[in-house]
Amino acid sequence: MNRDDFQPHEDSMPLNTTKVTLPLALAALALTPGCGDDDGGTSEVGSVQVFVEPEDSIPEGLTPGDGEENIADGWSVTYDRFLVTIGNVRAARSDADETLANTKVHVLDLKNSPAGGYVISEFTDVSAVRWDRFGFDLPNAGAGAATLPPTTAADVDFMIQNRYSIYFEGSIDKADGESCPSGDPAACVPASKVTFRWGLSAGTAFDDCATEDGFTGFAVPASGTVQVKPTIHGDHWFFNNFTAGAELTKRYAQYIADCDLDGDGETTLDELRMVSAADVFPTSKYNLSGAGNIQNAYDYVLAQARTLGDFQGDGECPTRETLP
Amino acid sequence: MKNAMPPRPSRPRPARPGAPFAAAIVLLAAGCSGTGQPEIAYDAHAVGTPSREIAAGDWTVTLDEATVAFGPVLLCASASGSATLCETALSEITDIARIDALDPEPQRIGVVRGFTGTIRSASFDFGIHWFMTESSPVAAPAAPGGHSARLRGRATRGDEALDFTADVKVLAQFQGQRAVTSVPANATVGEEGAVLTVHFDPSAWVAAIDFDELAAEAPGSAAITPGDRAHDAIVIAMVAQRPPELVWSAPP
Repeated sequence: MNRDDFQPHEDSMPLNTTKVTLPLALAALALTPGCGDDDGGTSEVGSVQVFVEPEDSIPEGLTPGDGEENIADGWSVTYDRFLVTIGNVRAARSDADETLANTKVHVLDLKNSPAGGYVISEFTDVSAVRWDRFGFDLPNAGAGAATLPPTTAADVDFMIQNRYSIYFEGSIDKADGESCPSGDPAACVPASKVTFRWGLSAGTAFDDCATEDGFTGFAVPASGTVQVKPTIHGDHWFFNNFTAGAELTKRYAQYIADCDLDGDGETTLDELRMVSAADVFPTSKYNLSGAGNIQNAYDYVLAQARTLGDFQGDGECPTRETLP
Repeated sequence: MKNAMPPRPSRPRPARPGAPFAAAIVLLAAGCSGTGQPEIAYDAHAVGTPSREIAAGDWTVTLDEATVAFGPVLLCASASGSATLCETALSEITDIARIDALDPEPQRIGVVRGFTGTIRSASFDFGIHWFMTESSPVAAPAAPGGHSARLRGRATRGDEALDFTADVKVLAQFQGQRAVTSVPANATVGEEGAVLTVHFDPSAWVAAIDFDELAAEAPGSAAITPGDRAHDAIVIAMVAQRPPELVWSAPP
């Protein structure tokens, strides 16, 4: 069965029913679960609910320590604002031609995410089998991006005007912290708090998502609903490598302090661009392979932002493609 | 970690890794069995880039020596060659070779052994490996002086000259990983086999050094060793900025 054979289903997102516009209608038409026999569809069906949830590091921040999720060099991290552009959810089966797709894109406030996350898509009458290929986009925001409360219209406009895929602002804090501009130990000055406001056009498509245990995609229960959870993490720009498949990494924040070249207490993206990677990412702590040409600290942050799309908590989506 | 790895005597020829690696090979072979894909083996060569003047800030740099240890290499069907996504390689080079990265003539570095199929990524070491069977990184005999690379050259700025040597160690970050966790690759190798050529450009590696800083620290002559910022600049260039490029061509 090809796309023309798909039976469109009504988008049943309750949070969106009062905002049905032409783009949404088109998106609903694109919501295309296959349910025939020609493409491997099964007689038993279920539903798929896709919701976006922030990792705890976004609302709660990160704490220093020796634990797996801690910042290892003594800094704590607090986010004050965290916006992300997400959508174009899709799924497919390797053993059949069926596909699911919803091209709708949302701008979401993950700092103030509802307790249950944001439901961005629902599919009904879906074959009750394993859909082993799941993917989604974190695109650069463009016209037509929707949102869900409590994300504000101002948030959406801000992301669209700047074509950001992600924006976050916050601070790193350490009582006895120092800023050593460009990593020069002779130039260190006290810095107990360093702020950042970083917006990135790091549009990336994420595919072949798998759980932390390596199970690809999701399984739809007969007459039941599976919850599929693209997960946005708030700690990748603290990793000491570029993870793929599993988060085998440590977290460090000192580079942010060391990139505050003018010592004004805020590290800007322009300052990140001015700092050579070798100055703040010592090879005794970092491995920068696997993410292309990392020349400076900005390249590192941008490359990490292209790894943000995770799955079902700590699972990863290792097939990543840059979006325009 | 670095202190736990004593220097090894250098040998001028490629050498096979020891028993732990052999065990790993057996495991890999076992993992690959039953795929139904035909087994293949084909030659791999390294090709260097002749020394040339290259700019590094206000300095002009020329290399006189670039001895590099390369291997082992894992070639993967997955888009990422990371150890967690490529537990079983499609094919591999188990040899670890010492090459002259300034020599443009092909230098045989080993045999690619594995199966037919599409290769989308590669991961490799620069002569220092850390297999799951090893408690710390181990330098192969082919590693020059127990290092991944030895670079020697001169940087000049007007009348000022700085002779330098660099003993470079490129290490895997975690046990079971390769030092270069993943580089893109694009080849479909059938039963007819192929030739793999690995291109090196070591001049680009030393161009990453901050020679202003190096000259200020060691006027006239500098020995770059692990822990130095210049060493980190070279390592980052080797693994992230200008890693070796793997190119497949039809067999002769």
